[in-house]
Amino acid sequence: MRKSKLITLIAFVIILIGAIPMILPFVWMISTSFKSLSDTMVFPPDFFPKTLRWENYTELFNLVPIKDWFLNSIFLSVMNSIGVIISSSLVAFGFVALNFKFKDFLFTLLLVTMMIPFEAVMIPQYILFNFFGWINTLYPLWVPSFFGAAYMIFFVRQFFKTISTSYIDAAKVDGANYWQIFYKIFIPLSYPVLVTVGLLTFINTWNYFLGPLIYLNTPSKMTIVSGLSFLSGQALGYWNYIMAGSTLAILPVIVLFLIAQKSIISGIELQGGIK
Amino acid sequence: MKSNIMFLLVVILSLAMSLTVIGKTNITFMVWGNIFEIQAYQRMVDKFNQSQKDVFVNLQSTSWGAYFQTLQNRIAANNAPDVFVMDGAYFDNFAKEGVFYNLTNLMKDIDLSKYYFEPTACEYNGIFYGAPKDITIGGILYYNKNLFDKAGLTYPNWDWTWQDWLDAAKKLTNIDANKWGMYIPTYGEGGLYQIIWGAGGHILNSDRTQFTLTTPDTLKGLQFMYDVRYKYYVNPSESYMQGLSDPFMTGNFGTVLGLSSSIVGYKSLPFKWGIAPIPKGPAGRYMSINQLSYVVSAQSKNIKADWQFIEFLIGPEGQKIMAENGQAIPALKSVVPVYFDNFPQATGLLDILNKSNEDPSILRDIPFTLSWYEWENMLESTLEYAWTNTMNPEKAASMAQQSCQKILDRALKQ
Repeated sequence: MRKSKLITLIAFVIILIGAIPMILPFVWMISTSFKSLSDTMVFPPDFFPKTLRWENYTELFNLVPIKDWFLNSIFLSVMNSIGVIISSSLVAFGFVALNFKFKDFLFTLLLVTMMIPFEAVMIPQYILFNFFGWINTLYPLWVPSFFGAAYMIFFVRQFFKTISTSYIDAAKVDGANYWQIFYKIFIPLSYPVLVTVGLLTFINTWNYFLGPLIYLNTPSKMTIVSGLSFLSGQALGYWNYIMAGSTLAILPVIVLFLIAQKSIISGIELQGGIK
Repeated sequence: MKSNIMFLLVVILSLAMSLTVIGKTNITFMVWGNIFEIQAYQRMVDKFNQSQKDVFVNLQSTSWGAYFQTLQNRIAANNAPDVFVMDGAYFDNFAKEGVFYNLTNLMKDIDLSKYYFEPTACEYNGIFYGAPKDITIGGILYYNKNLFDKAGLTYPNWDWTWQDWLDAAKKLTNIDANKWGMYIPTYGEGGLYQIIWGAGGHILNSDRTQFTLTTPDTLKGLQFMYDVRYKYYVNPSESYMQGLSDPFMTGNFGTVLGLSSSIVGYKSLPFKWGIAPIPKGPAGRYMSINQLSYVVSAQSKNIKADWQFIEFLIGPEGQKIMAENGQAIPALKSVVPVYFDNFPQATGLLDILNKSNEDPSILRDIPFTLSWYEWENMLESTLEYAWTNTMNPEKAASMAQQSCQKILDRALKQ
C-alpha cells in the first residue's frame, strides 16, 4: 500500500516536471498578450507584463474582423468533422465488410497517398479548385473532407477490423443488408472511435494554417488561425495583438477537448455494455 | 397588386444595377500586407473606383508569408491578378519567366525624374515591367537619444566617420548593464552591403555576374563588422542576438543600422530616438534604396484599365493616400513630406532623402540578380561563421564567395 503511494508520488513528480515545458509556451503567450508592443521586444525578456494591458484585446476586435474569423473557423471545423466522419466510416466499412477485386491494392494505394506531402499537390489542387470557381470561397477547405481522408480511413478501418465478423454473418442471416449492417451494428459499436475522428479533425481544421492562406484572399474570409498572420508584416510583427488573438483562438479547442474527453470515456463504456 | 408592382420595381432596379456592373471592366489587384497596409490599399482602391465609370478594381490581399506562393499558384492556374505588387527580391526571376506585361511604351508618359526610382526593381534586360510604388532606405543609423544624453554624447550627424561611431559606441557600451553601443545587422540590406560599400568594396562586379567578396576593400568592411564584435566588444555577438527580433526596440542599443520601414513600429517607443545617415567609411557614405513596384500580369486582358489604375496609384492622389497612411514612403518625391507628418522623430530620414536629391550617389541600388534571395541566404549563413567567431572574416568570405558564385552561375546559365 505504502509502496504504491510512493510510486504514485514519483510518477506525479515526473509528470509535473514534464508538464512545465509543455505549459511554458502557453504562459508566455498569455503574458505577451497583455504587454505593449515595445515591451514584447525587451531583452532580457520579462516573463510577466509590467502592467496588464487589456486594451490589446479590445483593440484587436476593432483592428481585425475577428468575429468573422471565428465563425469561419467554426463552420469549417464542424463541416470537416461531419464530412470526415461520414466519408471515412463508409470507406472503412467497405474495406472491412465487403469483398471485391483489388481490395488490398486499393487500400495500399490509399496508404500511399498519405505519404505525398501537401506541397506536391498544392498547385494541381489549386488549378482544379480554380476551374470550379472556388477560389476565395470556403469550399476548397471543407468539400474535400466529404470524399475521405486517408489517415482517418485507416484509423477507422483498424477499429472496424476488431469487430467480429460473426456480427456480420448473424445480421445477414437475419436478413439485414449492408447498409443496415453499417448503421445498426458498425456505427453504434464504434462511437468512441468516431468521436475521436471528429475531434481530431476538428482540431486539425481549426489549426490549419496554410490552406486558408492559399485559397482565400480577403481578410474577412479568413479563419482565426490564418487571419492572425495579417498582424505580422514584412518588417514588423504586432506580437502583442497576435498573442491576444492566439489566446482567444485556442480557447474553443481547449473547451472542446475537455467536453469530448468525457464522451470518449462514455463511448468506451457503451461498447463494454454491448459486449 | 401593390406588392406585385413593388416586386416588378425591385426586379427592374436590380437588373439595372447588375447591368451597370456588367458594363464595367473588372480588374483584380493583389497585394500583401498586414491589416494596416491593407487598409491603405483599400482606401486607394475605393478612391479610384469612385472616380471611374468604366473600371472597377477588386482588391485581393494575402499576408506576406503567403503572397508569392499564392501568386505562383494563380499564375499556374491562368488566374493571375491583373495588377499586383512586386518585390525586388523576386523581380528578375518572375520577369525572366514572362510573368509581367511589357510596360515600356506606357512608361514613356511617366516623368521618372519626379520619382525615387530604382531600376533593378522595375526593369529587366532593359525592359520596363514595373512602376515605382514606394521606397525603403537601408543602412540608416537609428540612435537612442536617452542613452546618448545619459552618456553626455552629441547625437550622430553628417560629419560622423566610422571612428567617431566607434568612439561613441565604446562610451555607450556597458556589458554588465546589458547596454550596447551599436548593432550592425548581418543581412544585406540592413547593414552588410552599406558597410562593404563604405569600405570601398562591392558585393558583385559591375555587370553583376561575379561576386567580389574576397577583394581587399570588401574584406575591410567585413573586418570592421568583425572587430566591433570581437575586438572592441561594442556590438553583441550573433549568438546573443538570437531571438532578438528588433534590437533597437529593446532600448538597450545606442545605435543600430537598419531599414527605414522599421519606423512604423518605433512610433510609440518609450524612449526618444532619431535617425542619422550611416557614418562615413574610408571610401565614403552609401545607403541602399530598395523599391516595390506595381506590375501588370502578362495574362491580363484589360491592359488599358490596368494602366489607368497604375497611373492613379503612382500619381499624386494614390501616392498621397499611401503617404498619409504612414506604412510606406511614397516613390513620388513631391509627396514624401506628407509621409513624414506621421513621424516627427524621423526628420533625419527626410534629411537623407533631401540630400540624395542633390547627390544621388549616396543611395545605391540593392544588387538584385536572378536567384538573389537564394544567394543572399547563402551569403548570410556563410558569413555567420565570422559573426559567431568560428572563422575569421577572410575565411568566411572565401567560403561565401564560392557558394554564392555557384548559385549565381547556375541561375545565369538556365
